[in-house]
Amino acid sequence: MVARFLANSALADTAAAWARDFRLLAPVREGQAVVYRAWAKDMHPFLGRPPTCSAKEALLPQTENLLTYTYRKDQADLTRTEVFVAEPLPPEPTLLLGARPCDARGRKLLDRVFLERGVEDPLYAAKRRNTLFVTVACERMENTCFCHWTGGGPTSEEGSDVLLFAVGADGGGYVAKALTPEGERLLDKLPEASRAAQEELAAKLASPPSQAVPGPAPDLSAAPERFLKLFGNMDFWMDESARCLSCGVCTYLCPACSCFNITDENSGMKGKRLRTWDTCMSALYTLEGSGHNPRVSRAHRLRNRVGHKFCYHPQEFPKDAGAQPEFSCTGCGRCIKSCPVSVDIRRVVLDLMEKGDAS
Amino acid sequence: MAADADDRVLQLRAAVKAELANVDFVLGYAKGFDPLHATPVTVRTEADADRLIFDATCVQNLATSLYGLNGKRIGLVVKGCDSRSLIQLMQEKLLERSQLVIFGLPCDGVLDLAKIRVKADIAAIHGAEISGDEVRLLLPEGTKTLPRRDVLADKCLRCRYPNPLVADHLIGQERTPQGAEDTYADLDGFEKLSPQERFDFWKRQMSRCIRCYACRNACPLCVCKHVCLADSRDPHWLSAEATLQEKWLFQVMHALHLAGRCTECGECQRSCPMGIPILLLKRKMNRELKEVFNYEAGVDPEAVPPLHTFLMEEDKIKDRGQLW
Amino acid sequence: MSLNPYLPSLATIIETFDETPDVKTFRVVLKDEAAMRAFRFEPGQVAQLSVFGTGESTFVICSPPTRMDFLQFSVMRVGELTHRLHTLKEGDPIGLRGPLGNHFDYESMKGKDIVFIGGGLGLAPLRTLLLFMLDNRADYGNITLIYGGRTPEHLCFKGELAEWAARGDMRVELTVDNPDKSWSHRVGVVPAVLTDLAVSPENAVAVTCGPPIMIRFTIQALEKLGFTDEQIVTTLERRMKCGVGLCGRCNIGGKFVCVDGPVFTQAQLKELPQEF
Ligand SMILES: Cc1cc2nc3c(=O)[nH]c(=O)nc-3n(C[C@H](O)[C@H](O)[C@H](O)COP(=O)(O)OP(=O)(O)OC[C@H]3O[C@@H](n4cnc5c(N)ncnc54)[C@H](O)[C@@H]3O)c2cc1C
Ligand code: SF4
Ligand code: SF4
Ligand code: SF4
Ligand code: SF4
Ligand code: FES
Repeated sequence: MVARFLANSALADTAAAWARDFRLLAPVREGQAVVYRAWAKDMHPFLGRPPTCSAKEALLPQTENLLTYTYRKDQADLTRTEVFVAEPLPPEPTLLLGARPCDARGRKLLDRVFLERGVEDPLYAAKRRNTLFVTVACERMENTCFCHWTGGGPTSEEGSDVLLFAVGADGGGYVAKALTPEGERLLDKLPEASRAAQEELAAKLASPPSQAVPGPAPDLSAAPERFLKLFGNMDFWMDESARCLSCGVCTYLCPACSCFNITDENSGMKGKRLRTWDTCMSALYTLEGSGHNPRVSRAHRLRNRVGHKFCYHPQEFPKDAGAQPEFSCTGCGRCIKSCPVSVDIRRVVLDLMEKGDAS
Repeated sequence: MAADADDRVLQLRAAVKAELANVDFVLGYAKGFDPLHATPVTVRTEADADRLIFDATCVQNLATSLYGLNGKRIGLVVKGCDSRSLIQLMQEKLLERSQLVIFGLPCDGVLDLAKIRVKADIAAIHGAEISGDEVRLLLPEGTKTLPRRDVLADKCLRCRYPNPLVADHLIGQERTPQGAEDTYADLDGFEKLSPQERFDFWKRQMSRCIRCYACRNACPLCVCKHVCLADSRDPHWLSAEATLQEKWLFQVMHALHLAGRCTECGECQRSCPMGIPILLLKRKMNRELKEVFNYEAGVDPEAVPPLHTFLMEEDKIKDRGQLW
Repeated sequence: MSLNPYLPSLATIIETFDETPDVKTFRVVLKDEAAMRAFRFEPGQVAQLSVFGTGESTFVICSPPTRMDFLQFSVMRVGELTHRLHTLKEGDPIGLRGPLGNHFDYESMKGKDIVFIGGGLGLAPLRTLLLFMLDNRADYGNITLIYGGRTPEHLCFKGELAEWAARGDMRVELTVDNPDKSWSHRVGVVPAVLTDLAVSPENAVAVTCGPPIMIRFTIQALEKLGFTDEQIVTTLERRMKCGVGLCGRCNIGGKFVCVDGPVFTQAQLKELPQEF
């Protein structure tokens, strides 16, 4: 496939053209946050920093309707009611601009749950089928990034339809690489990337700036087993979670977290059944009607979050012997960056590796 | 920054070590994942104590961590503003003074990372130096220097209580307050906008909310936590939908429940990952409380919060007689 | 039919009656008669019952697959959905998603002696298996039911208990913690009765369900009697939403109670991270 060029000066017009065919979500800067917004005429997409939220909203919206229902009184016998249930409408074709490679890899991890675990989730599947990702490759890693620990990298192509590489040549812009036929179609109106732009990119890829990579990835292949070893060590989990606030920041911003709640919202004789994001860091998540709660403390809950990502997921989706396990974490670092108390999942995993070995 | 900075950390570590035998553990600050982040730590051993730090990155209010620790004896490192949360909790009988060993550190102000992020991309920062009136950021593209006053938290700029109001160990020289009487200039400015403009402002801001409830859980005085009305289905005030209406209603609830209790520690706003200026709502409540009851939360351990009591005749509330 | 796993089938309550002051039994048929005729499930499987506007909750289908005139559920009133269910009457519409989850491995139990040990509403999942076995009586050895509750009033399926005791081809031992004047059976907790009876583990399987504490002491008592982990079968309860392994909340380690359970042998449970 030919490499195309998306000039900075052409970004807004190109986005506007895409917005004619798709529900376009693009990142904009609002104060310290970078958030995806539905395309509007005078919008300025901001691709300079990774968005604060992950891209999962496009595939697993925070709120969606599972069904709607209506009650009707039987006109012949008013003590009787009937109920009618309707499924939601199919989703619009969507294009998400400005995700990062770690977000795009998140799609694969969501696929594991919603498409591959057993029962296919039709709502997710429909969105997955008609959502395209135009992803921005990262020029450097941030202090919170560790995608290279979990099988990704700043220029990983996995999960994207188009990958944009920033270059300074030709007045500045992106060398755009289509990775799927749909991605190629998105780019067909753009000019071919100049030789200068392509050479600049090749040089950048060949020697990434030295401060960009924060050190080699540790070998985490024993993480699942170390986790199980430390599972019952509550002192370990209490110390790791002592400052945790039990909020939803880490799980709601995570591109791989997929837990949800189902609740009904009634209004008069009709209403809807909603699916909404939920978080395993909340005590209510597992609270049973009897008052019994298998995860009473933050220690239990943090243990579940880390365990799911670094033990249960790799056990459920095993790789070949000797290969690095697949974790349910893309190393995007959002849970670290936005945690109000700087809980660092890397630290927890490294502590597991260390203390799980000793014990 | 005051000259006693390094010294003070050593004194703090020594004081903590000396108290370790008398407490279950001490909550303090240690270095976080990068030069601009500190993280709360549990100190049980002398080695843990050697990790303690105290500087402008120690933003968290550790009073929040006391939630659920009733029955334990805890050492706590506090700044001036944090000590006000303790006082407020004690006033409300949610905390026993005897439960705590307080290490009070006079404070020069903490950084507001949200402000810095607007001025610089600090995601790959590899060093930070905070001197008298400058903050030097060592960034991949070079050093960037910002005036300290531009990146201190707003609460620090108007702080009148940099010296902890309650402490067992007061560590370091007392500071002179940076702020005078709070004029609520920010609020005045905001209220000059038309109702429509204010409405549009909040609409835009609140639409970013992801309902993570970090704001609630970070608040030292928001003590309902998981039995919060926001999560309750009976009464069913908020739906699970992430709509503007639900998000906004929660903030109104939080502000109202904190009226006369909020010490403006700012943890709610600081914890918000989406940078929503929710402290403004609490400041609005506090200004009203100040005007009506001449009350400021968390300053006087003996005071009774005005909404926890009533007077037969309130100074600022007109008695219109029995109009029934 | 839609493949949407979240979409309940519409169903109608055809009969309700009280079991105890807070347990009510519902007999339900699918609205679509063809779907009802085609409905298949295995003993131990559960369904999600919906009251649209309130929500959904998980209940074991406590009638056996050998009696398909209706699906029966016995529901304890504890929270939002169960309160609402208890207000419904014959003729009211509800939603039903199922069958969900795994089931009792009755094949491997063939030819063996079966000991059912239940407490309170924990008898519900045992009932479906018990009736299934009684309907295929020749396939199984001796059948014993040890059933207990706080008071006589708290025992479920009271009419049937007497019926089963009178059958002659099974043994029924009833016990309560607090008897009233008319109580003529045992007094004491279920695990003590088990020990008292000195049930033999020889070629036997024990199936138990009840409150967590009862299960814990029952398993200890069974172990003392010589039952191995493979011979002890129990069912687990977890807060559930989706029922199909997607929403995440019912996990114990890497297993989901909604799809890998609710039925587990003690041997399987010991393999899991201990988070109960
Ligand atoms: C496999 C299985 C089989 C069960 N079989 C029966 C049965 O036959 N009869 C019976 O009375 N009860 C049974 N339960 C328990 C029953 O599901 C709960 O009591 C019920 O969900 C409580 O709902 P609520 O809305 O009244 O309670 P609330 O406390 O208002 O609960 C709200 C939500 O929490 C969830 N929830 C709360 N408690 C539980 C719980 N203990 N287990 C699972 N989810 C819960 C539900 O999703 C519910 O929608 C079973 C549970 C499981 C997991
Ligand atoms: S780890 Fe951080 S973000 Fe996650 S629940 Fe705890 S405080 Fe919130
Ligand atoms: S666990 Fe944290 S670092 Fe990993 S994908 Fe989720 S948010 Fe990113
Ligand atoms: S409402 Fe905000 S500023 Fe007020 S006490 Fe709570 S966290 Fe602090
Ligand atoms: S912290 Fe911010 S995003 Fe989270 S619930 Fe509060 S206002 Fe919303
Ligand atoms: S109930 Fe949703 S995963 Fe089990």
